[in-house]
Amino acid sequence: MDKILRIDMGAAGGPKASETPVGQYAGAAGRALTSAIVANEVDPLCHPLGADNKLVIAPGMLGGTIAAMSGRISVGCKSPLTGGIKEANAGGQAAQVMARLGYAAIVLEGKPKDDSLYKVVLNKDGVTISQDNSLKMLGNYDLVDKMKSQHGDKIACISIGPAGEMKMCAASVAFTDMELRPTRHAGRGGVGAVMGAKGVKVIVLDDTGMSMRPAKDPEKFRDANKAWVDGLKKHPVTGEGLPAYGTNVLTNVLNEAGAYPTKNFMFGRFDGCAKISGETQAATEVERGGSATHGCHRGCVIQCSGIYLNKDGHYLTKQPEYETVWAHGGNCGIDDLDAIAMLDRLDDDYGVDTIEMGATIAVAMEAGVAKFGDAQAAINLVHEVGKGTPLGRILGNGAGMTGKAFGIERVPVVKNQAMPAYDPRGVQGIGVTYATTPMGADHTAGYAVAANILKVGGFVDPLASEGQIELSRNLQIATAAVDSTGMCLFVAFAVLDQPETFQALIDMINAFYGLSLTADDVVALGKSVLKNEREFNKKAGFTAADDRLPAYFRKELLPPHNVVFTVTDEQLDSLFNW
Amino acid sequence: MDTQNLGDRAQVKLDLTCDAQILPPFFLLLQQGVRFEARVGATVEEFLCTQLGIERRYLKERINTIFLDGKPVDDAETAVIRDGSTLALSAALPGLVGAAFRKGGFYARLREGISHADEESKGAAGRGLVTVKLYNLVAKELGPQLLGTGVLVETDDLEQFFAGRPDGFWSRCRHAAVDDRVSSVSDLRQGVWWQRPALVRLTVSTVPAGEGPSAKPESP
Ligand code: SF4
Repeated sequence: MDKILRIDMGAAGGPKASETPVGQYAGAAGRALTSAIVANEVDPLCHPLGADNKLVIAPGMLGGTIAAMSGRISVGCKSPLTGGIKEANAGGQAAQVMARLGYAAIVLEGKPKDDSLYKVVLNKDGVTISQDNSLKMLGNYDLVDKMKSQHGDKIACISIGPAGEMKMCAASVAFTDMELRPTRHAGRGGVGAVMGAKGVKVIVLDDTGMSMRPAKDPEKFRDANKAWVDGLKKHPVTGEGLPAYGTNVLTNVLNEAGAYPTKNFMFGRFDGCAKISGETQAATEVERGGSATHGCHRGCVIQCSGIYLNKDGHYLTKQPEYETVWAHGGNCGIDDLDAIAMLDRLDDDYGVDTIEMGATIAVAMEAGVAKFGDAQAAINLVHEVGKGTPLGRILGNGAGMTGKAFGIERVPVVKNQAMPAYDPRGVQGIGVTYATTPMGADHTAGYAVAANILKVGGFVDPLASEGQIELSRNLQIATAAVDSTGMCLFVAFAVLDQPETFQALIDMINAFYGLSLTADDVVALGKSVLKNEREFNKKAGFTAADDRLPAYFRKELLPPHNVVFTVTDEQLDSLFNW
Repeated sequence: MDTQNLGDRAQVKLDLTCDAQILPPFFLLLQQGVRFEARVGATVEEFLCTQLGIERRYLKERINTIFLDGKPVDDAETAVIRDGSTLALSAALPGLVGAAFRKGGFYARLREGISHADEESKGAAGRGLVTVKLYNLVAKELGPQLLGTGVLVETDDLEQFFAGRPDGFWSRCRHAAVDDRVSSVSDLRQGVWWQRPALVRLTVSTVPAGEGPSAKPESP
């Protein structure tokens, strides 16, 4: 991972690839690298779909090694959805393959002269870029099948569906999983639209002939990885709860708490929740001969995913995650798991973010475009997006655009990005993160619950009155650091509860790179990532007014607890004072 | 058919004996909530451990998240149940929100505003009905014990549950008794035994797969 592949899509005579050493970016990976390149090289005032934006794809620090859980991959750019900096990440096989091919990052630059589509192939012999307009408007599933027939089944693909080609703000970048299916998506912020604007339909990666990245100290690295895996396996969340039920285990609990956003954030509880819970989903998958325990990439030992078969026992999609089940389920009043799984499949195929799509459909339902609870109508709306009809173009550009088009006030977005599955009136602390993260409303921005172990910013008493702000700040710093390692964020629990597991992670990084990082260095890394991102947004025109939840969260009581969001603007503005 | 009254609510008794492998689907019933007669005015800990027989250690170490009437509980030794309370129990959960809901957890502050305050549940001591919802690993681990000793289920919930079961489920249902009288499983499947009680006192006992249809139900 000592080189960066840059492809100038607008070069005279057609796209031109060049390889450069990592140079000033040495040591950075994952989100740290995507955000550093975007912050350094992209004009914050550029048009996100113009030649001056760049799309950066980067595996994490331990990508391509035997380290368990190290297969996350980051995608960065100026977001067409938020207008600010974006890092969206995904699982799948690509991080491992790309890292073994030696690339710290792929950077797509410039803009093609016309609307031709390109295929990029990377293997041990280098890079080939070819124009292939036969790929136009292919769904991700057909596209990957075509790549398989052309390049064999040892590949990994990074691709966009029709939504990316149409440069919709909800468009995702798809990554193939272990079964070579395009089920893992860097979903948030419209990164797929930027890939579409670069004219790249698919990047095919083949690491045949390459080997695992070797550690500087192989023995220590192996030992640390063993301690890491043991720690993950013995913890009840990473060793039992997530493997058995996936993230959808949260549905029942959020609903019980009255913080499960229902029917476009009108209510905190959904009557049909038990029909779509993680428990029901896992039982359905097992009963039909699918699987409730599955990894999104080789080397995942938590295995929070699964395989969802339809009623006839045929593959439909991977196990939809909690956020997807919520977005297309309770948030739209839909309690039919098969319909939700179909919506997940369509989102993956057309290449759109499931959270943004679900939130958008709920806004459209409130506008009367369809009825809450009408699963078939929701499916039809996603088809509109995939086909690019005028209505589909509105929906495909997200909840904010749809709210404007239909004159709806209750639009749950921050920085124009739709909120995920936790009502900030019920869980106020997460509202702080939604409001202040440079990414736009994003639950994963403050996910790394290891902050107290890291003692980020000194020890914080969570029961003190300023606890929410302090906690959110520290969580965002810790998360930025974890996102840079390329570790799946779900490791956070084992790291939170078991200091020796956190130590094993640092030991792995140190043994691999021959470093002697401490927890303080990890904190410094997280802070520097956030600083880059905040700076970019400031130059792009963001002010404190953008770090706010929509006003209705302060006014509309959320039943059943009848609460509103109460964290003050002054408190929100103090978040980045460190 | 014999009915008893619990408050105003008529109930019947249904004892099922089935192969161990079809016990897990019954846990789905537990996520929706089952009822228990309880001595109310007791603490959550007293109710769970003394009245339902759950080990104290299990409560402390495994039941990571507790909701009383929809509010996260931080201390099971001080929160008090009353007639009509709903108690939901979960093992450790993923995500920041999972951390926030943990009882007495480091991130409890993040859900300030909906946390359970002890004074909310003050009420008269005596007998009452408490709804218990069991989620995820807690349902899997406590389900056999609680189903074995008996739970009260809303008739609607049980009907819906039975309606959604595939053929394989019914072929592994060995024996049914309604108010201690033997009933055929196929009758149960078609709901003909039903005389619309409000509540069903359900016990589910298991036999190892493969034992004959004459297997006797274990007494709860
Ligand atoms: S825990 Fe889930 S999201 Fe994380 S790497 Fe494994 S399967 Fe992928």
